[in-house]
Amino acid sequence: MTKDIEVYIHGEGCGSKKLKISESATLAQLLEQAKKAGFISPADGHPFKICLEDEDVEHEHHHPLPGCGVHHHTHVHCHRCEHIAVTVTYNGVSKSQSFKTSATGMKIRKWALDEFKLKGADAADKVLRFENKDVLDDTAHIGTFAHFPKCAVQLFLTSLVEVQG
Amino acid sequence: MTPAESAFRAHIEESPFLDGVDREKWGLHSDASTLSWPTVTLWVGAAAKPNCADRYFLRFDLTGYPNEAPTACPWDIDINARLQNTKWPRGPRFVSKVFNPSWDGGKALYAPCDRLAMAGHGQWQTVHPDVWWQASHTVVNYLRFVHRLLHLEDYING
Repeated sequence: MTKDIEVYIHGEGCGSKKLKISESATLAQLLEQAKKAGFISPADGHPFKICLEDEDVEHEHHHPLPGCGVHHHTHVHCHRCEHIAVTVTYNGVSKSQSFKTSATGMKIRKWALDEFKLKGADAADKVLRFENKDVLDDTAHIGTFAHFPKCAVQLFLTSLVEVQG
Repeated sequence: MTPAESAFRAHIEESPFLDGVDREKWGLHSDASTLSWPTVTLWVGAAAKPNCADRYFLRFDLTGYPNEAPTACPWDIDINARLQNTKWPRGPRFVSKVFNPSWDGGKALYAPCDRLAMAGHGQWQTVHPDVWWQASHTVVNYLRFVHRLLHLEDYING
């Protein structure tokens, strides 16, 4: 007898939504449920690529959830982009790297700190921000901020600002 | 039920709040059915460090939510009173600026998303635009700010 599990589904420009689904369902059924819930719009001929949080493997839609590692509270990302070209600027220097849509803010921040050779105290207060100054949360998926066909995100590595005044 | 309470109850059923609960970043201290509006106690997880608390409770006053910003102070759930000053989280550069029990009698966090602290600090809107409370924000914005603070290397103990 199968039971229901709760899965977080993430998509382009729409954050995440928690869905309840049978643990034996397929990814296609999960997508269908997300569409019915109004969370993702039917694709415009471009198939959704499906990845699990911080994983680099793309899963086929017909795969059953447990077979591709989807369990209770797993985070799944569906996006029309295959990768997101992330450019991070720090002190006027920009570095770019391609990430899966399901890459988290923490994964990208670690990459950026490494790229700019920041360690210890120099790294400890650094956050990634968008142009509007919003901070990229460590658990946010980068695909959330890219809209197909523009599969790119621009970020800035900055120091946190102390609250004073 | 007031519109403010209704909005809060809707927000804690949405994915951003639930995601934080499932990742053990924050949560309600008591069952949602027993809330004593407009006072709500939530907890926020802190980085695992020796001799440090792994979570802090915050007593929120959510009057006028979300048009008005929340205000909150660290709370001792064992004695149902404001947390003793010596138990507030500390951190020389960032944490103690926000968790400052000597500011306004320790009634609130000195934060750009806190109703009491925002008053008279209009400049924070420019300096901390991502944190400055807006009516479109939810309690998750406040919790994210505190959670980030409590996971900085700057956080040393409580």
